[in-house]
Amino acid sequence: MVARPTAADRARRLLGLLSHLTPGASIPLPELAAALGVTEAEITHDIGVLSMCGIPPYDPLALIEVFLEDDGSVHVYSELPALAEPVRLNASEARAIAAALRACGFGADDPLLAKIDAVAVPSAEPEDVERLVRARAAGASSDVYGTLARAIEETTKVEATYLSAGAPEASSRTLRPYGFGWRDGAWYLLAFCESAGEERTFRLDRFLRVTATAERFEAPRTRQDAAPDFSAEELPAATLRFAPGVAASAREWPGATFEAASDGATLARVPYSSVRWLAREVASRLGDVIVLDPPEARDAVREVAEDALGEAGA
Amino acid sequence: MADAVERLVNLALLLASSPAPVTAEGCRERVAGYPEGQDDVAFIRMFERDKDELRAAGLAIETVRMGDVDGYRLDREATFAPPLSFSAEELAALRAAGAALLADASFPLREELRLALLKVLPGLPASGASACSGAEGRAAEPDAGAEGALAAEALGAISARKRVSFDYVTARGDRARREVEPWGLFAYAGGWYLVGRDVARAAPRVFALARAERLERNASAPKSADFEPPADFDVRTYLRLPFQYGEEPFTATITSTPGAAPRLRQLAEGRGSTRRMDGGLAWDIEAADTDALVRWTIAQGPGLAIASPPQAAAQMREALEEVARAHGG
Repeated sequence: MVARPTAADRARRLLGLLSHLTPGASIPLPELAAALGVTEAEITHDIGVLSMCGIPPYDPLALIEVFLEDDGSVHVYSELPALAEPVRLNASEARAIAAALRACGFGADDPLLAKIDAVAVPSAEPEDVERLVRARAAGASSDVYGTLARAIEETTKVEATYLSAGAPEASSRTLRPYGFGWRDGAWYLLAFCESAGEERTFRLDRFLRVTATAERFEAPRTRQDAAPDFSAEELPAATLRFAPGVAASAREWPGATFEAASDGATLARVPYSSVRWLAREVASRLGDVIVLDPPEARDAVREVAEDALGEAGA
Repeated sequence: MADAVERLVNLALLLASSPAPVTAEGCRERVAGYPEGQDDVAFIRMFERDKDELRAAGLAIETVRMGDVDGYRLDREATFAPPLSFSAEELAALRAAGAALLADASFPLREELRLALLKVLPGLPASGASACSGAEGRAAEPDAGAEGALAAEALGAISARKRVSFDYVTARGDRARREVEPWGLFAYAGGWYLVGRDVARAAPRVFALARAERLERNASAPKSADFEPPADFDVRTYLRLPFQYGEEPFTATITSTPGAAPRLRQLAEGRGSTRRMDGGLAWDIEAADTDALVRWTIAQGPGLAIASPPQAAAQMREALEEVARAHGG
């Protein structure tokens, strides 16, 4: 429920755009719209407004020379009359970037956060961000994130030590990283695993170590191919029973559909890509949630419980 | 509407290009967009608002006394960013974080993040074929956007130090409208949590925004604060593990097999204390909810067990036996 942008919001967006309007630049309209988070119609209108802006005497030499041409790109014809250099981040912008970086696992004393502070307005207090807002994915590490982000951009392979959900020990593998996804406070990586010979989705906080290599690989063709697929269409699904009074939410069971049963219980169809993940989640509910089918999922829950009992008895 | 946008951009350009300070009258005459024949009071009000909006955008407009009138100019040092140089990894991380979080409806600071990336990245934020989030399915979940919107509202109230009220359902299912002095916000496992002083109980509380609705900020006296947070408030002290919320704390010890030791160390995140034991790890940590401790230990496994206190270990054994029985064991 975002409020309609005010004139001030729109002016702020345009001012933020100015430093990207270098003379001779030609930017496809869809790219501009995506960068500003607006529709193509809105940005077309705003480019029109921008081309009427400038400094006195507002003659053609003193206006911002930017126009949408027939080729669907916005062309910049000359230097801006002013404000060509980037402006500092205001306090809320600095806070937003800091929160985003914290969500990637960058610590408060990371040099990247210090660089961001250096380009914020003097009154934006970095301690403020630290003390008021935290959005950090558990266990995420900025080294892992940074190394993978760079490998994705440069299409180079990485050597990784990874602990799968339900595996007793970490394993080493060579990966071709394609892209990241962020869901429910956790980062995921889609990559081609050379050991497994197929694409897999990895949780970033399960990487114990990631090392860059110089070996390049061929990137997947489209953006859709590059991101983890969180859709549930082709996955098997289990039927779960939630005891009466036990909360059941899609946040905890992604992709699940729910229906009330006659005795006050809730039945759910829950898609799963890893039966071990499902089994562990169910086991941790201590009997509030039970798997009705398929048999492989019921067996998996029993195994998780029996293994944990074996470990506890030791 | 176009007039207001033009006027603001023109005012910014004028102030940025003038070597000498410009008076209000000078702006009125020279900036295209101030209405002709506007009365002086209305003009001054419009001009003051315009300056505030430009300051909010990051332009440091300072006032200079020139004889008996005020002049305005940009403090260039405070307005313009020093040259940025990011390493290739840092740039990649910023782009990737931007792409993924901008697509997630539950991240409450998206508009600010978008504007921030526009200022800080050398190219346009959405450009580049690399990391992206594919979170279309996520964005379609109404809960995600609603919670993000609540978090954004709460954040506004935190900054302005205004009380908020909201409908709330506790974990036990009790519903009530709560009034809170909001101090801070944190995200955990995809949900947002508000930390603040519950006015009726006169004590700090943590609220899961997933169970909050109709959050409203106290609308009276918008420019003055309703309260002062404690001087030493730090939201990190409220960022506890799920089993650490409760009335009666105790010390628990969780052990790991050798294979699970690196994972346990990672989960510990420096909290409590760890020691080697039988090739694995033992983690002594403060807990306050036995049930939550058992659930957490099972969920984070395999390879984890509760060594102490004995009641928690026994509770875990009983619960696991029950689970095995219910699944054909």
